[in-house]
Amino acid sequence: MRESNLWQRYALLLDQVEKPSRYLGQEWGSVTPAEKEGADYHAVLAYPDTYEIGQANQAIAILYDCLNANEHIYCERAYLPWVDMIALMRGNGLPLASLETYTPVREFDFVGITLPHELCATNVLEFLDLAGIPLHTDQRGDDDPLVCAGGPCAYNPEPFAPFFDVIFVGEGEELDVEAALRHRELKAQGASRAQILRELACIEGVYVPSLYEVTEQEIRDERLAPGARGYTTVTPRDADVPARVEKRIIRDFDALPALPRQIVPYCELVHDRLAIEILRGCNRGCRFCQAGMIYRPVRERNADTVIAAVMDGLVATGYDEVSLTSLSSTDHSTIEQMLRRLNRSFSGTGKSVSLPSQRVDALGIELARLAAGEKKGSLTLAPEAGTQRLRDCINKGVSEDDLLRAVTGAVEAGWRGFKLYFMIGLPGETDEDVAGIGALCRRVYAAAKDAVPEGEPRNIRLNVSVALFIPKAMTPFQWDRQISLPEISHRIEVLRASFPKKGINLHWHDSDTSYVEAVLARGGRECAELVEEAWRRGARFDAWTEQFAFAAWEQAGDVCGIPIMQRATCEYEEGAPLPWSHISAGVSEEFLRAERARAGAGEKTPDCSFTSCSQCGVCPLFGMTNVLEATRVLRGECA
Amino acid sequence: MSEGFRLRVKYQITGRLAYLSHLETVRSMERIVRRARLPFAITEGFNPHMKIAFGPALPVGAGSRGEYFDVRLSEYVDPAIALEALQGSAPENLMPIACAYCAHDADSIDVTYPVSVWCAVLDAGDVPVGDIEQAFSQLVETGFIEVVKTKGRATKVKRVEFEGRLIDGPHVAAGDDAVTVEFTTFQGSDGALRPDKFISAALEGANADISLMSLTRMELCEN
Ligand code: SF4
Repeated sequence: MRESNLWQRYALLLDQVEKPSRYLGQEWGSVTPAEKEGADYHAVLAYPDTYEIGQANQAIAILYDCLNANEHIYCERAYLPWVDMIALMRGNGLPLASLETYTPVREFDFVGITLPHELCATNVLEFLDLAGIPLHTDQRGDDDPLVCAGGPCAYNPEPFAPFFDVIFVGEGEELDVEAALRHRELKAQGASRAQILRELACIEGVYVPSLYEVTEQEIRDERLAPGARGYTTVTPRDADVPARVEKRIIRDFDALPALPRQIVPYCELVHDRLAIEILRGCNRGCRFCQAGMIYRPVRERNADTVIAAVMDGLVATGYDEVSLTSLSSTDHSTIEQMLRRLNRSFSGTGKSVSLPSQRVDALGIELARLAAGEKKGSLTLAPEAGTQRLRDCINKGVSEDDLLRAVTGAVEAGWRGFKLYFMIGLPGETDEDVAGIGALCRRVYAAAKDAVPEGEPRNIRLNVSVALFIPKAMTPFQWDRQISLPEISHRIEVLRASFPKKGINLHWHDSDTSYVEAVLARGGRECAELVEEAWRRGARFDAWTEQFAFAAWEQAGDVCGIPIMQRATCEYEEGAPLPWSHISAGVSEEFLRAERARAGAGEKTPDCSFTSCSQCGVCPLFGMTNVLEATRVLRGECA
Repeated sequence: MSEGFRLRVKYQITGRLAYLSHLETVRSMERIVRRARLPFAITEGFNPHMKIAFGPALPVGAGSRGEYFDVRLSEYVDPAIALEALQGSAPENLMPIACAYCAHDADSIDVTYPVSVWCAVLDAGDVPVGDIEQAFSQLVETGFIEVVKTKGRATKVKRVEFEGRLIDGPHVAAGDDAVTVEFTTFQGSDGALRPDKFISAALEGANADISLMSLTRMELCEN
């Protein structure tokens, strides 16, 4: 291994591609072979999209640091080249290689692919194919690498299952290293591939799809044409294989390094700044949100640790901006204090601090002022639904007053641009709720204009983005369906009519991709056939609007007996086993069912990190509680 | 307010970093300055940023033995110390090699150094060097190249005359296992002759299997 360095061959192609800097490696901070001379186990972490998206992924950065911190492991990175490079590589018979040493990916011991969202599925196949690794776990031999997956899609891994040898469920800091070291040990003992997989299945949080029996279940919904396939569920083949794989979780989050090794890219990334994770988990309990269910409980990082990481990180990287990241950074109990301290030390230096997303109710005037340092772009808020009734149904505990207060406060603090996110097709939605989106946006626009101080131009930019609701596994809405095309057309008409002709910019997010995403999000192993067929018909880079080929998916759906539209608009039966029933994020199914019932009744469930336990099941299972730095204080009307 | 100290830094771009775009080089260099913890001055206003200015852009794929940028420092730092700090913060292939202070009102880098000396290394295989020489002299005789520019869907063909832009060369010479072509260009205010386009136009004319192995700006010079 590691005899081949393909750089010279890649270099010959760089003149012909759009952004050569995607392929250069050698970034400041990347781990060099000289640093890892003694390492005998070679891992590569991959992201199934281009460099500028993958390199911005914080999970990869954290795991790269964890794996390289071990003396036996040299971990490199690989991303999917863009379509121009892919064509050249295929034309020149050039396999996919790692960035650090340009070693062919297929020569590594361990290939770990992050699965950030369902629309990356065909890219996983493109990646494996370009690497020259057999697509299916059962086609791989002793000389092939161990192909692993992790990330959000591991919570319903079935549409990916046949393509992976092992799938890591939950947080990977300890798990990935443990699995890699065990693999190294077993290889050294001369264990066969089959023995290795069985052994790895014994590690907590590891799912080995090939060790499970697959059964197809009927989906009882009249929207599905007769003859269409149901979804699969799985059970272990043998008694020593876990029937249920519990997620791995980091109990002492604050003990993890707050500043993992930073790689400073040459190519501009989608989020091109220092990112420091300030908390994990969000227990707000929005009923459509998968992240809010799978990353529980909440664990906050200490303010001093965060500040030190920011200061050291800015010096080490040369960035002039830091983002304090998490699912809901404004919920951190000491967020104001942290922002104030950072702003004070950044004053007059050209450095700034930003937050990735703001919760409407948590965003006080003070936070709006503090959150952008001196650079004011546009402020993103996500009310999600147009009426209070529907916002209560989805447990988005935000009132119209909260939103108006947040926006006027932000205008007073200097913001002039706003981006509001909404969904249509939420369970229980009526025309009145849809029309409510336009009405709410009109009031926001008017309030923002009124809040502009006397004598200043009243130029408010309001961009409204509306997407189709996508039911996700492990959420209270996991049994719910998407609305059909005729329903969409009608609601879009209602939506458009509710908006003023001028002033507010309304953007409707393409619904075709949402259908594919929904099918995969709730699909069983049968959907792996769909993914493979769509890929063979040319689908890849499905998350890139200009590359998305819906026709390929539709044809694949017909061939595989999984008609996309019908499947996406099917309701699943409560109580029946689900494709992901063998995976556990700790939140109990009873809780999800109860939450769904509360949604139907329009009842809210409070966030346990602000109030008391709402019995989701996570804490007793893992023997932990929410870890807060101070008591959280509710802002806005839900206080 | 004090104008601070204007430090002119000379740096090299080598190896694979020749493939950085001008913007990527600029951004990377700004990060190097910050990592070096030099006391750089920042602009005032809504979006404060480092007071830094770069010389003429290099084509993507071209390396350089000497590019320049000017950075304003708010405090005096011994140039030798500044250079050491920059070097300790720079990747091997994007390396500051010299720095010195210049006057506040000194001309910008573009104006100070309007002349570029280029060296292209060609892999010509079995093609006799005379054929390559001939291809270049034929091109020079034509007196111009045409450059296609695309903006959105629109394409525009622009004629770039050699007169006043190609001021020396091309000199073709056979090396041990490659052919080198040296030439000097002047970048005025009305559009420069792009060295990469010049080479590819000549190679197209040669009608043989010759590829450009590397292109390097050997020097930026005064007029
Ligand atoms: S078990 Fe209770 S306290 Fe823990 S995350 Fe769930 S609801 Fe919150």
